[in-house]
Amino acid sequence: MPPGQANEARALNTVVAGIFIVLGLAAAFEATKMRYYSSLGPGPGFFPLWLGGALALFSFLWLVQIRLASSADGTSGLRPGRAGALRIAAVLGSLAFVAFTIELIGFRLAMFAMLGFVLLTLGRQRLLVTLVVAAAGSFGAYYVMGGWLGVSLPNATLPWLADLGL
Amino acid sequence: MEALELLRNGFAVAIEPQNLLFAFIGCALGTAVGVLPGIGSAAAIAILLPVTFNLAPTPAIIMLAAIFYGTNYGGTITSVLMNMPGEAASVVTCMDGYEMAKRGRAGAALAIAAIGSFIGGTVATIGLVLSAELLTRSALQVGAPEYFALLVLGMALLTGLASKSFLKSVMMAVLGLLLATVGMDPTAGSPRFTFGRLELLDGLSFVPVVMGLFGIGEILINLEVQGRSVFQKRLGSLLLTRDDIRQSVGPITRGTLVGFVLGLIPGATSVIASFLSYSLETKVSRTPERFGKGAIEGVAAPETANNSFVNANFIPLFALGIPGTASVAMIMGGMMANGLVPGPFLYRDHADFVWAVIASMYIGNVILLILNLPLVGLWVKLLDVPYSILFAAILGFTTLGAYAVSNSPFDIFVMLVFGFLGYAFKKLEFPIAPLVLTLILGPLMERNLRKSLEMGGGDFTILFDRPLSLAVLLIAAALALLPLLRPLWGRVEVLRSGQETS
Repeated sequence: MPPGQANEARALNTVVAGIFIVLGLAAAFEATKMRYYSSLGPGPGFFPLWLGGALALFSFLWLVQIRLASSADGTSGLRPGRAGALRIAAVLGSLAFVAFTIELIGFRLAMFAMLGFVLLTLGRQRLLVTLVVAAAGSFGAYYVMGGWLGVSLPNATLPWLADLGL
Repeated sequence: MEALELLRNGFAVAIEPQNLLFAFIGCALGTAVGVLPGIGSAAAIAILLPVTFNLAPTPAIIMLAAIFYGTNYGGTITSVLMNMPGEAASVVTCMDGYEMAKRGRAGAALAIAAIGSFIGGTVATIGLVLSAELLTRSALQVGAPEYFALLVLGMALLTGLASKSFLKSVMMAVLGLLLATVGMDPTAGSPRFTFGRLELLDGLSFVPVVMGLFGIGEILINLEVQGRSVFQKRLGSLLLTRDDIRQSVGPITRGTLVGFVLGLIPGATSVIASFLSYSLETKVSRTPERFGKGAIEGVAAPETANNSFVNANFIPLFALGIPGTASVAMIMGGMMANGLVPGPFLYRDHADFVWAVIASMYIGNVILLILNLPLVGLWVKLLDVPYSILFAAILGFTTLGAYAVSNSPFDIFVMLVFGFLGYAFKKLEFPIAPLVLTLILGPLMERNLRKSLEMGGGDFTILFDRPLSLAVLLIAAALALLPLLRPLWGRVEVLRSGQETS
């Protein structure tokens, strides 16, 4: 790994170790607000306190290991390129869209919109292919899962969409 | 023998049309997903979990188990034809399988892989039957302190074997345990780390977490770099020559043994099983120079070991309630969702269920042999579907599955967050399996520790007073310390050789 990339990997690993340490300490601190021990044995705070402490300790040891190591361990190409980062953001964004809208516009429309978006933008599929796959994955899945397998999926709660039977 | 009688009853349940159908669907879906590059068995089970949501426990677990061993079969096809392993355990198959394909012998490579997998899987299932009675009888003697010690041992094995970095494995195991404490405390019933969210009172839902870590994480990794490799479409004849059979008998026998033994050890992975059996073959072969150049033994041994491992993996799950791998942990999750707690009492309280699942494994292996030999051309066709359509389908299915767990959009957010974490962990080379295993074992561990301390009046020495518990904890401590001592031992060796040279 070239020196510049190695330094970048080491810096990133250091940040990750820091996040783990803070997470462990925060969990241990929160656990101190719970009862540690009772007459019956360990209380609700017992396990999280020890685990939070252990996470912080092991993360600290890893941090020391990173700082002492002569090269960053197997973490080349950590940062995605601009196009890769955009694709990742698009997938996560489309999932967030479904989570926000699934009970508002219903499963079928939310899923149709998500699949349509990812197929058109990320998959670069033709419009006809996009429409067919998105319809199968939304309307088709709704009837298969709901009708045959008994999995209940939400309908729209917006009145005008609900009136359309969506 | 009582086990054989119970197995006979198990077959009676497993061959009921509904159960046969779900075993077939599981094998077909598992093979189909296993064929797709980059999707391992854990991701496959995560993606396909929603299909089993509304099934009765027996067909649901029969199907999940079939998906599990189906993906292992499917992974071979891409290894041989594309030099691209469908799942990690098939990496080693690429070495000789792809070379065989380049010489027009893809059919023979796939045939020996299917036959070896069938033998390995069937022998391991026989082992499961034979060991069931003995293991269950001994497991019934196990109390809370011993059970806690066994869980610690499972975790020590897992963290020692799961990754190149011991510290990273331990960090992930502890993080999994910490995440398992989210929700209501199991004894006092007070909320922990719920941040006022009602959705978190029951803890983090296992399904959205694993769907995120494996399914979405995998998609993000694949989407980051686009592009696919060309694959060898020419299958050639599926018929094996007399030489092929002669050369494969030994590797299949040894592969079965290696896979079975490793399958009993929590934390060992099918990757280790296939690599170990391959390296064993290169050691025992009279012509090791043929390996890597299309030697049929290089396909037969790892594929047999891989499937033998997968079936043997059910032994620690059924007898002790300890899942050996992330995929088995997901099957355990599916069992628990259906009110079935894996462990020694499972055989006693739900004998019909356990023996039906075991019997279905024999049937599943036959189904897979049929699906993978005459129908291999059909699976190859799947590779013609563009990845852009496949990933959209996976995305849709995981979203549907995450929502359907408890009809809550919150679970889609959980999947989203863990999807990003899964991606980040893979990039940073943090092993995900310890996190998934401890997430599912955490509540069991906490409950047994607290039960042990209640038994001992709050005194920790109860864990060391009982011989079995003490022995298991000592083994766990030794295993946990081993990776730390290895570098030190290496340095001592270097120093010693330096002194000898000077």
